Amino acid sequence: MNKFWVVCKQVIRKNIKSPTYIVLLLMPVILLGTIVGIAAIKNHTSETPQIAIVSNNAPLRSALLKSNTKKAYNVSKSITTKKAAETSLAKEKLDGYLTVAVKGSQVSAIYKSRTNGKTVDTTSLQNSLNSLKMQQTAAQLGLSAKQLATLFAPANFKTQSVSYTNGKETAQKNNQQTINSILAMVVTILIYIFMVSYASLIAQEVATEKGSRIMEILVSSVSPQIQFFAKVTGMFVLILLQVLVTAICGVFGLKYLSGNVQFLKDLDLSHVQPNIIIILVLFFILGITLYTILAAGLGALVSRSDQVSQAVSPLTMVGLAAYGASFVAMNSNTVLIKIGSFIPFLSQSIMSVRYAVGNATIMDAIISLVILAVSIVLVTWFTTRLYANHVLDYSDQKIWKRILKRN
Amino acid sequence: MLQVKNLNKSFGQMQAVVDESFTVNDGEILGLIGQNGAGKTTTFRMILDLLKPDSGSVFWNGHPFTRKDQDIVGFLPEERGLYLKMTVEEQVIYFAELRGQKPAVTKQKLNDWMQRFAVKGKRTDKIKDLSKGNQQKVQLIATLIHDPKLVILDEPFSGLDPVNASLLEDGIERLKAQGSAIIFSSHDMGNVEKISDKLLMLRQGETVLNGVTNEIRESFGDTRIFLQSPLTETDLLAIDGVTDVKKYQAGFELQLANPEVGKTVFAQATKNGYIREFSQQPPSLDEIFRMKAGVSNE
Repeated sequence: MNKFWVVCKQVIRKNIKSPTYIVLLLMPVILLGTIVGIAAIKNHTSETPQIAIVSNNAPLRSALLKSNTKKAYNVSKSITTKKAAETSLAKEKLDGYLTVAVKGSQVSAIYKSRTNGKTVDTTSLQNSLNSLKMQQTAAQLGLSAKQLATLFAPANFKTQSVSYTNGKETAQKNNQQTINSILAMVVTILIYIFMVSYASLIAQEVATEKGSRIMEILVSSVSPQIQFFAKVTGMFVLILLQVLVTAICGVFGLKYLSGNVQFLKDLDLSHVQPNIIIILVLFFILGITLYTILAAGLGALVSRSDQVSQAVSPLTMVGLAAYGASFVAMNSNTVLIKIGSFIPFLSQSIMSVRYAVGNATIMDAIISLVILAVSIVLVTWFTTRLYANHVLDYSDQKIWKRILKRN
Repeated sequence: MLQVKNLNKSFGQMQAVVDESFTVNDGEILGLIGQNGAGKTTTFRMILDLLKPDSGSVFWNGHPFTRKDQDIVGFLPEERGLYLKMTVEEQVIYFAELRGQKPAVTKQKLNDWMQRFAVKGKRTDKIKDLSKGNQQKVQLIATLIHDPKLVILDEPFSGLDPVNASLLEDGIERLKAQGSAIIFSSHDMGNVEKISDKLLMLRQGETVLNGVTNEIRESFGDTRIFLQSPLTETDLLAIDGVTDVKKYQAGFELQLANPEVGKTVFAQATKNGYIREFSQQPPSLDEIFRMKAGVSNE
């Protein structure tokens, strides 16, 4: 057990210092930084327009000035006359000005703007004006604020979309489906990125030791089995660290960007169901585990480290196929997709999507997870043997022949 | 004490090791010789439990050698390997830790060992920045720094210049004095003859020689004479029982049909009194090796 940690620690220590891993680890940070940077630049360039408000009714004007709570525009308060506004507009000190005329209960407004000036969201001006007028009228009619609120309360309107499984209706709130698809998409992409990166990282790790003949010293000190598990465990610590960094970036990114990006504003994360999260996380963990373990075994088959990509490529190809199929599964539920969602090496991507978009029941997902878990046990058993038998084998035999060779 | 009993191993059709048995006591050095493919590396791997023998067994201090005993082993494989990106210190600490020695202990011992093997470089130098010879020394230190009780060195002298070879000889002698059982393989009979107490020679997996080094030589009889005397090559070849005469330094090296012929040669050479050299010896290991292997060992 002691040596298990020695090897495990070594894997972590060595990789944490390697440029490959550092780049991998910082990828989400860099990505987030870029997005935030772009958003910041975009915010900076879209400056708020400068306008003036002129009116023959002073209380209405000051009420209008106060209503600009969202800072959709800046008001030059010193400009109070139409003449002054015209002059400033001509000098391009203003982007436009609003003239509000009150005649009895009639309120009319004109917004005059420069064509080369910054555009003002006139609906917000209009809304402010409308609500002010309403309050005024209500006051004239002697209505209380409460009565006013009741009068203008909108009708309750909700949409609901449903899907049918086995003839039974499964209700899904409108927003939820979108969120689930997005979640499944994110998880599938993450699975693919993690799988490709870490499968080649661990295969490289094993192959380098074998290629540089360190393996002989290692296996004479620590049994190949212990070594194998220690390496995989070490790799998991690295993956966990990466997940943590990615998650932190994700949370910060969502927090920061949801205020700026319309698409994210519309997402209501409170609709996310916990069982979907649990299933997706399980598929993520088990899927990555399966690929990492097999990749470690494949790394032990090569004689030199430059053969690693050759040995791992079948595995990454399957990963890519699963990734591609998961996109198909977003919109269709064919027999092929259904079957694929139960096959290990494919299920982590396909079943995630099928379950998330509501094309599979929780029972389907659980069965698929169990199959995946069992296959991990079998692959581990097979790979440990493969590893123990081949770490000292430097023959030039073809890799696939070696896998098939029993001994 | 290491006991190897009746080991057999074959790979497919090829019989790599045939009925191999030997013993190495504590404080004893066994030299394993043989040509490439004679079964030396296979023997080492079977002792270390990296390969399962088809039959036969390996005992350490009377009990079967298993992976539990691996901490007492110091193993230098024929193909050397180090982590090129690690520093000398990290590398040695890691390998020693794998043999159960705490990093703090290794740190304390490292300077001493680097001095002993005259490593040119600092503890903080990356392995890849060291010369090949110095890398090899670091590998040796990593093999020996945990004071192993069983030392297995596969071709430790290959690639070492005479100065470094003698540093290594000193290192091996030191371990011997500490009571370690040592096995090493070598192509160079000079090293084997100088430091090994026992000798095992393999030819295509079969043991052709096995025993105490001096006894093996003696068993071939004193059939060699180094001679510096007034006698010429023709004179020497004329003596009955002299089978071969070769030039050797200022004199000749004679091969005899049997040790008794030596007396005749001595009488002939000294009939006019003083001669510079007469030395009758058994054949050198190198000659025995060639005789047994049937070809040159080079």
